[in-house]
Amino acid sequence: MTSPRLPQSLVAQQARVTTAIGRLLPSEGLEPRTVHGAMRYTALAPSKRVRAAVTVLAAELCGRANDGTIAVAASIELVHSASLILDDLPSMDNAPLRRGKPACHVAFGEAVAVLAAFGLLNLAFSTVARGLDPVLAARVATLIADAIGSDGLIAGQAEDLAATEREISFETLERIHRRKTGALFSAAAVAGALTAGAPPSQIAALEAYAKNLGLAFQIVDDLLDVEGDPAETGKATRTDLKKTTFVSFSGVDGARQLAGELCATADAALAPFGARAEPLRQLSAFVAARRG
Amino acid sequence: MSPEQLPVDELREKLKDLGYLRTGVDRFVLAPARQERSPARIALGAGARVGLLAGALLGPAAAIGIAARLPQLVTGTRDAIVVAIYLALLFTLAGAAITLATAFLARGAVRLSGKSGARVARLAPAVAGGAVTAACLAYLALWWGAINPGPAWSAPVWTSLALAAAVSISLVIGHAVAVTVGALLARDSPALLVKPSTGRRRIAFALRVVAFAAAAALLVATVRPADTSELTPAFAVIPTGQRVIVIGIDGFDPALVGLSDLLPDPTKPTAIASVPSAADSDPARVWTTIATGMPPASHGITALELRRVAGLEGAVAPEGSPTARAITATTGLLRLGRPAIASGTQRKLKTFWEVAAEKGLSTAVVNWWATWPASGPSTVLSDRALLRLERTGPLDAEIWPPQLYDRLRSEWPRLSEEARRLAEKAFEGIEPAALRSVLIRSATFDAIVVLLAMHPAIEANDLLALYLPGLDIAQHSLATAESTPTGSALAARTTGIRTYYAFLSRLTRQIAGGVERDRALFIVITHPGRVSSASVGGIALNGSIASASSGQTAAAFVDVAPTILFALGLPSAADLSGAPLTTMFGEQFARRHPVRVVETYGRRAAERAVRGGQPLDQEMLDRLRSLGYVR
Repeated sequence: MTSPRLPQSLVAQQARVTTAIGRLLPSEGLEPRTVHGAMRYTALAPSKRVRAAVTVLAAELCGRANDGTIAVAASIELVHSASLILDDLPSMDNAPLRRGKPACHVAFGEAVAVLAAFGLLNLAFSTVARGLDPVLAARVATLIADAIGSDGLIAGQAEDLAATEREISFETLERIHRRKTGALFSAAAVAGALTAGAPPSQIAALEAYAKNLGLAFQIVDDLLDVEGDPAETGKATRTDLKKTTFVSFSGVDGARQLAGELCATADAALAPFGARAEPLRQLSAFVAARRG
Repeated sequence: MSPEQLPVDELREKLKDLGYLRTGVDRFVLAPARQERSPARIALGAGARVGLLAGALLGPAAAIGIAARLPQLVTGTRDAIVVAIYLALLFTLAGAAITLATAFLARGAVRLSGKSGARVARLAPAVAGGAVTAACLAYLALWWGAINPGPAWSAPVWTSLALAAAVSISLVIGHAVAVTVGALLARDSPALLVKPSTGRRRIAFALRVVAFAAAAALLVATVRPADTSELTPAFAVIPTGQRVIVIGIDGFDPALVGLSDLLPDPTKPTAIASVPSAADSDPARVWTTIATGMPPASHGITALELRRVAGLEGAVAPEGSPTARAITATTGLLRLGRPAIASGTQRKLKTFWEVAAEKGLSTAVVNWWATWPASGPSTVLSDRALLRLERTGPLDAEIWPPQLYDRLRSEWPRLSEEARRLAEKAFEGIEPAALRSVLIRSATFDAIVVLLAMHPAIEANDLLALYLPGLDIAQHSLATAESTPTGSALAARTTGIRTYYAFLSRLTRQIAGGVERDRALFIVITHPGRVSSASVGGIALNGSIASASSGQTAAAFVDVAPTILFALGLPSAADLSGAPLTTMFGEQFARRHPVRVVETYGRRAAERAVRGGQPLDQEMLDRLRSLGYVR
């Protein structure tokens, strides 16, 4: 089975954001070359840029994706790239492969990888600060900081590490997924909507979409770890054997079924937007069926 | 690690508890979100949707309550659906108004809270939702208590199910209000958007338990006694051998003739009782009081003219219960009220002919007020029977048993012609012609009632009751014809009315001529009617078992039904307002038949007469309007 192709509307967003990231990242020729090289190595590696797509499509749904939106989408991707570098470190998941290439720490060494991660994080926040008007910048920066802070992604990662080789409850697993994956998905959707000046009701609808889509994305990730092909997923599989995953609770079939239901619920949350939400629905369909 | 795998259904529920897989109420309340909206528009839109939710959930629930409280209003499934729609509209408006008010109150509270505004904002949705949940739950619990008298533990399963439903409905509506308040506050400050919370399952479960317990406590605290009486309690009839014939005469004025002048059989002993303070001009109310032995508040016929809510078969009395008054006022305001006539549907208690018939006696009633729709076991020519025989067409419960209709209809031309002939003969020579015409028209009514009552097809071996409206109709027509009649016109009118009394006297004697007099007890009941100057009614017992030496005694109309049943050998019911007038019976009869008392005659069955055929509702209304009974 081959992985479904990214919908054409998403491919366009993907290209837009990748171009923006390329412009934002320091050139490899600038010192410190290794750090900048590591940053570009990770952030520009082939990626679906699902989070960035959520940001841009949410903004278009609520009005228009402007330059500020693209800046925010790029920032979200930079933050995500930083989190991947840290997640792959030997002291964390110790993953050798990422996005079809050796992980950052494998390619550049652990010390450079840590520096590259912090470089990407700082670049993300400076991009938000420079790309948006001050009030909106403060709001979006707070949103992203909360998503990856010690009550967000960091908390999720800490709990994930603590759960290794331990049996955990379903609720704990959900909390880890929500903090590690869901929080940034939600932040991506809300930040995109904010850049388009969306009202709370639209933001709430998009937040519901992102929440369900985020968990579906993570469940599919768990599934791919069990049955995926590294050539397609771009990362090492069966690395989660020491962990309790969604598949541990539901089995492969149950996980795929619930991932589908979560995507359907995400689509239902967009009902108020009508046909205009079709690109986001295509995105959720892609997430449900993806093989990598 | 491999924890125990769980069924997908269980995982799905867990995910729902964690806030996934649901867009339900929140989306319904906040949608559509196509463009940026002002706080007022958010509140208006959400308020309207919460109103719709409240209408859809509470409307049907309240309709069931109304049907239980006012069975006369809700006569079937169609009525129940229409009432549910009306109430759904009402609750939609109320729900929307409450939601709007709550949302703006919460917003105002946040703005007035100064530095602690953020904290108040975080609490406001939950507080607002909780308050609405509590109010809604209290309403539903009280509603359940109102329609199900008696302790809750007498029907624990149904009560538990009802309370569980009430808790669910209340929580949904309360949650919708909380979402609205949250949306309005978030419009002012998006940072207040609620983040996913953990432990919702336990909190929600605890909330449900607390709400259930609160509703149950409220139900227990407001418990009211149930009507546990049987439909037909067992008691014996000790036959007296009497055939009782009850003749109701409306519009009687003792200043013109004595009650003794109307006796069917002057050769037999007669006992007469007067009924002081009988000046109630509503015939349906009075004659149902006479028929049931209970006051209007108990028997349910509180007025002849009722108000029907557009689209409903049932009707309510404008001066009835607080609920009925509220419905009348509201529908009047909205121009949804229509006039209607009191009928047996509104009556809650058994009549004396029903009590006797249930005990196997052969009984019939002719033209008594509020006897339509007719149903067994008595033979019933209801207050619409004459109209049906006159208009023909398929029967709509005007006559019971239905097969009687065919026979009476075939003889209707002869009977009506005979009645007309009797009336014309009685008023020959009365002038002017207009007066004679009024008298003949009224007398024809009475004559046809008597002819129908005495028809061989009417089986009434033990009890026959008939109501004669003609005198009251004549007097009312004459009183309203001229505002200031001349002296000669007044004199002619008096002569005409006196002649009417003579006609009535001939009619009652005609009744006596058709029965075996030695075993007949005639009970003549008179009422002053609508325009008589008298305010005194009368009860006369005329027959071999009547006391010849009782003299004038004072009585009440509620004593009539117990007295009739006593004469038939039935015990007296302790729960009736009236009591048998034993002093009006001869000493020998009274000694041989001491008063026996039973607790009750039982509840009136909830099942109603089967309707069908061609309705005469409008025709009846028109006729009563032409006779001056309704406006």
